[in-house]
Amino acid sequence: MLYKELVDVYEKLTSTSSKLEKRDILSDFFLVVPEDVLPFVTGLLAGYVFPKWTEKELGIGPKLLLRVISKITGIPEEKVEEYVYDSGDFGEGIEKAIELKKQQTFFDLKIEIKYLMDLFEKVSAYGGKGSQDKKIKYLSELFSAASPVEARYLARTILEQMRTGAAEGIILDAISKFSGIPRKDVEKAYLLTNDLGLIALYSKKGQDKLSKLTVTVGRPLKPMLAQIASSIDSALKDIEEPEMEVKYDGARIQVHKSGDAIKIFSRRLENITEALPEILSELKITLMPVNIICEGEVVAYKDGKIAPFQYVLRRLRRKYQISEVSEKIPLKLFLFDCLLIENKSLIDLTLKERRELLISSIKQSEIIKIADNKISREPSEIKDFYNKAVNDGHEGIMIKDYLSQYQPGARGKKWLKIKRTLETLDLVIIGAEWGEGRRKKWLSSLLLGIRDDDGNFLPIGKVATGLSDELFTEITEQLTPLILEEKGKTVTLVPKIVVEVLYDEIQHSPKYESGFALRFPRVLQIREDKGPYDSDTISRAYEIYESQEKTF
Amino acid sequence: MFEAVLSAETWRKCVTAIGSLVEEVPLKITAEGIELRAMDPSHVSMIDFKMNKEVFAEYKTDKEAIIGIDIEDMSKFINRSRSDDILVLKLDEEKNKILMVLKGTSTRRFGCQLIDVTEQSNLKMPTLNTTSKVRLSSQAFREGLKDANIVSDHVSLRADDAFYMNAEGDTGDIEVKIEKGDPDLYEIIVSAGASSTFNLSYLTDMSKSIPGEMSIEIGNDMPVKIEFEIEGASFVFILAPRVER
Repeated sequence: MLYKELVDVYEKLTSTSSKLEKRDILSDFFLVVPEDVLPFVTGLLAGYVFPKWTEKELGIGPKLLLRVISKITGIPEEKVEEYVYDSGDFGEGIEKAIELKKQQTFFDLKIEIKYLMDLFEKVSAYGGKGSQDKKIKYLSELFSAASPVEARYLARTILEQMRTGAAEGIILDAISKFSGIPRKDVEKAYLLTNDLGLIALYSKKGQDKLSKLTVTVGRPLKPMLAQIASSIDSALKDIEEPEMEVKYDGARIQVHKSGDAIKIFSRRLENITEALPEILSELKITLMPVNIICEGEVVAYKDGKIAPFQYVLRRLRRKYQISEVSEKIPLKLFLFDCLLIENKSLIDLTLKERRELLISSIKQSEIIKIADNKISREPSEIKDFYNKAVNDGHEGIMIKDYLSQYQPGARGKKWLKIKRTLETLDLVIIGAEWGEGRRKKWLSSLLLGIRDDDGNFLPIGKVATGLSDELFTEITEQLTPLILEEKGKTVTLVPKIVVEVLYDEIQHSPKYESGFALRFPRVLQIREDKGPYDSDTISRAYEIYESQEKTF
Repeated sequence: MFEAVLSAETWRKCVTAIGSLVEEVPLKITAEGIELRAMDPSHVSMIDFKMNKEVFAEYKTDKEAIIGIDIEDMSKFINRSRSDDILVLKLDEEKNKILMVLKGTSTRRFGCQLIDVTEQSNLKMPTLNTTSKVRLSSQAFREGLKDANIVSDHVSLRADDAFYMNAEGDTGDIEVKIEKGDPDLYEIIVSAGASSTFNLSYLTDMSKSIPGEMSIEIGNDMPVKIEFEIEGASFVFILAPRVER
């Protein structure tokens, strides 16, 4: 199958905004994609080359790509950069460069999807240093065979900037349609495996095969999430058999062990094994079953006390000098759930059963412990548990239904959280203004966007305070490559960076497109663990708005 | 069974010249000698290399074979040779390696892993309608490229009453003229005026290892064909032009 055929599908998807039409386009296409490339093609449609939980990545940035394009077209790099800037999109800029290509080649080649798949595998195998020349070689080969429109989509794919609107949900719809398998079964398999490509392939093989997909060591499943409860009383109304756990102010991780091989995934299902060497070596001693998947919260300690969440994040995104930092910021892991033991999925068991199995599978140590819990329906006891947790420096408590099953990816009423602080919102920075005076080199006034149901980011407020110099520098660094357009001091940004914003109140306001405004917003931190589509939604803002009157 | 003996220095020069354009090559071993034809990854340039068995001090093979060589790996090995070393090339089919034995004050053996190059093994040379041929000193050609590089990243090669190298950029323009009677020009045959433009970095890379004399064939918006020899081995380089739109 030719890459051209996939490009035609991208083009069709872009030409319609109707979700149903998109679904039908995808479903028709899935029917004709050969099985050997189906998982790969599904990923490309969803906008990724490798599922993010694999260790594989292309490791190709805009700079490298510009070099390649300049080399094969004979157009100077600055000129190609100008095309990108003018069109506001990498793909279109590169398309133009290929269109204007001056350098002739000897043969016209056609890009086969199989060839592309193999080429990406080879590129990903050249990780790290000294591999640039090889990567340039492969990319030159690829782009010299690409037509202008193919080059546009290849560039977007490589830089992970696809804009076809084939969101996860639509792809699942399409898989369900072409295979005739009910949507809920397709989705269930997806929540368990997090691999759209695999789901597409198994759906093609038939419902029997698809239904055999289950929790597997090495493939993270979407974590079950908690809703915010406005009070203990309201929580008790929703939950019959409550179990309280300390809500640690850390980072949620999912640990997968198979024999000697242990992998650690973040909440966003990224493989972060290498960022946590001391947890990793400790896990080797603590986890007794040969195969196990368990979940917990990693918490940072500084001078023997619980350190703010930023410290954990700093650890997670560190790629170098890990051992040096791990001494400065020691971590502990509190395990609270267990999803598989010896290749038997536990997700259909009750939390009570899962916790018992977890306890019997772990040799607790100074670094790895089971999260503290308490079973009670007595509001005063719950309040005591809460007060103790908060006094110990934790974030609050979780109230979970002890008899509930594990529902991957669900944010339902089986798990509730009660936090000590005011609720914060995770918002996306969609614009900014260059500062003045001392702040001249910083993007200082930040325009915050909140996500609506269609995935648009609508303005909800501006924030210019609450950031340290350090944070300003960091935010500016991260935002600068995302600038789409610059008018005077004002810049429009690719919605990508998520920040946690604290505020005094959410107000109704006609001033912003979202219909809400934040009173006294201040940025607490960059949420490196969240992508724009993990940010909070307008309905969330509405919920908070509604509950503001009630106090805990 | 393949075994050939030659001066390590000759092999080093040839490998360097090949490596200036391509990395992974199919090397064909025949009763007559060795040869290879390969294209760079961008499909912009091609190389054709032949070394007849007469160039070798000893040469024997009992069958034809095509082996895949990573030129970068091979240059690392051969660059360790000393100028008066004798090189023995041997094919170890069992281990899928080509052995390079350097005999000098000591005997050193390098085994270079072979690679898969099946995609490249049936490359045809394109037919070129060139109208002019120039023979000149490679030194003069390289100097011309350096001059052109001052103002641009591409250069026009032109044959008319003389051989010209022209470059134009934002900062100025440059013309190098080599004509009959100049000591650097050995021959010029022009059946019709010809001019084509080429990427400087490719030309610079490929001309680096040309010793002494070279010939250049050009046409109008046609690939350029460059021929030369390194100690009895013959080389052809072809580079596709840039075409202004």
